[in-house]
Amino acid sequence: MSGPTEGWFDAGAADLALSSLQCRMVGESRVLIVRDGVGSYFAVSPDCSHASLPLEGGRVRGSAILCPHHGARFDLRSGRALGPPAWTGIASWPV
Amino acid sequence: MATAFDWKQRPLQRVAPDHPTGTPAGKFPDPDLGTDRIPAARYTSPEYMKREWTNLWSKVWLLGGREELIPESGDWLSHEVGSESFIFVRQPDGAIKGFFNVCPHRGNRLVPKDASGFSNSFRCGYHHWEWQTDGALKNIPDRETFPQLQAPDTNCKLGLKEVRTDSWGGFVWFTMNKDGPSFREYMGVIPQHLDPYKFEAMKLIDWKTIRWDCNWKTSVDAFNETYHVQGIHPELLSWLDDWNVQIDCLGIHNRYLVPFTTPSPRYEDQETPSAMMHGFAQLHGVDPAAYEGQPRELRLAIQRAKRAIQNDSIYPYAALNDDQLSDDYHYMIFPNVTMNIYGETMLMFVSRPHPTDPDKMFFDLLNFAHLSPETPHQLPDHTIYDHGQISLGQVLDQDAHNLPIVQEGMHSAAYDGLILGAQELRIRHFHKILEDYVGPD
Repeated sequence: MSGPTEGWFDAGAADLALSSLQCRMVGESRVLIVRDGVGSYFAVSPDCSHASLPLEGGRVRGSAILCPHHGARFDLRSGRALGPPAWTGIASWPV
Repeated sequence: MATAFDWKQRPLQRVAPDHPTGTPAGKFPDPDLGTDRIPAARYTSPEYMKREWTNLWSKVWLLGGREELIPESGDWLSHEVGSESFIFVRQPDGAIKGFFNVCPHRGNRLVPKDASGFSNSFRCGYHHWEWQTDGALKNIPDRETFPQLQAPDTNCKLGLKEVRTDSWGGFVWFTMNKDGPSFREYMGVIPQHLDPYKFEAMKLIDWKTIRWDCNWKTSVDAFNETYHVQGIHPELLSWLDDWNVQIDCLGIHNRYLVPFTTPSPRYEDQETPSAMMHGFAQLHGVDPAAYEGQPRELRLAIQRAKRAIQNDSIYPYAALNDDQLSDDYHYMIFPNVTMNIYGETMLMFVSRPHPTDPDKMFFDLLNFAHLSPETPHQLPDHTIYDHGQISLGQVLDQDAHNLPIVQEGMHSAAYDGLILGAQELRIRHFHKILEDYVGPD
């Protein structure tokens, strides 16, 4: 994946189960690696833009990730916020 | 002068009513519902719309959503009907509970409308009042500042207001009516008729909502008769029989059985299959080049082709009757769920009322299909559009173009109400049931 700073980084083994996620260290940054229901991988910010709480423990539904704390949803492809209580998106990086 | 053969006189070959498998195909007796006009005010009057809310929407069972959207405990979806919003949430034991999506404190929405998500509790974003996902009150911040909330029994009075729910076909259904029939009583013969299609095993592959500029009943009517095909969809006549349509009234619900892959009697060329018919033959396992029968019999050839592969097909052919292998079994679950049902797919329309305006509605378009286990499947996003913003495909675009014009015309002082013929029996039957609920005009 293309990391939080310039260049491509090894984000670890492509061994996630479908519709699952895992927080990993990529370079010096924490990154949330997500695999959707049809096997595609995504790399997004590990924290929710709503209350800055970890997205780890959230759920993957379709092409969205659901924050486990207050139900905010983000598009995995773009990081766009899909509805309250989050209004701003999260970072997402090419994989 | 030679007289042309009237193809309407040629009967269509239908499956025997006592066919051992599948949906009962026998004709149900037609009720005698008279020939009176249907008042246009039912479609245009704000007063009638209010009566519908009190006597219809608050009383019937309605479709809440698709279960595959909320598979795990804590998963929820919100769904709107008229001015009300509802939350449906998966419980730890797998059941689904439904609640009004409103905070009893100051009236805020607990979750966004038209959304889905997951949470271990519902916490109002306004003042952080919180409920368990079973609706029980969990916490009120600074509760000591509410003298009226100190008594122990306050908790149960402040639980989320619940609606009755039930499951069928992979959908959650609900009613705001605390009394009234159970879901199974309400559905009558529908489950027995449609279980062979195994809706619960189908996958949701597309889900759109369109804000349509017409009354919800104008939409329901448009799909409850094939009399309009000759006018609105003439390109279908080469492969869709809009005449030999069996209409059946099924308690408060109704259906019609529309022969596909056979030309309408109105179609001028009854001798050579059209290009569309060739396409269907190919699609459904009949080699068009090798097919030598009449266009009208291609439908039977397709039935035989599917019957031949039924034991190693992902589709429920073996559980269906012969006609279900070629035709559109088109059902309406009163008041607003319409289903075009085929052996492989199901196209569902849900016509939902606008909160206040009788000239507006929400048209939900849901596409389902049986998929093989190897086919990767991802739940589609729910996308929402304005009328005409996107194409829904030629046939639906033709209907969608026509509906606001019909709605506008029904406001005219020169319009005296609907005149309905025998081909429009489903509309008349629908209005008879509507009147049973809403009362006389």
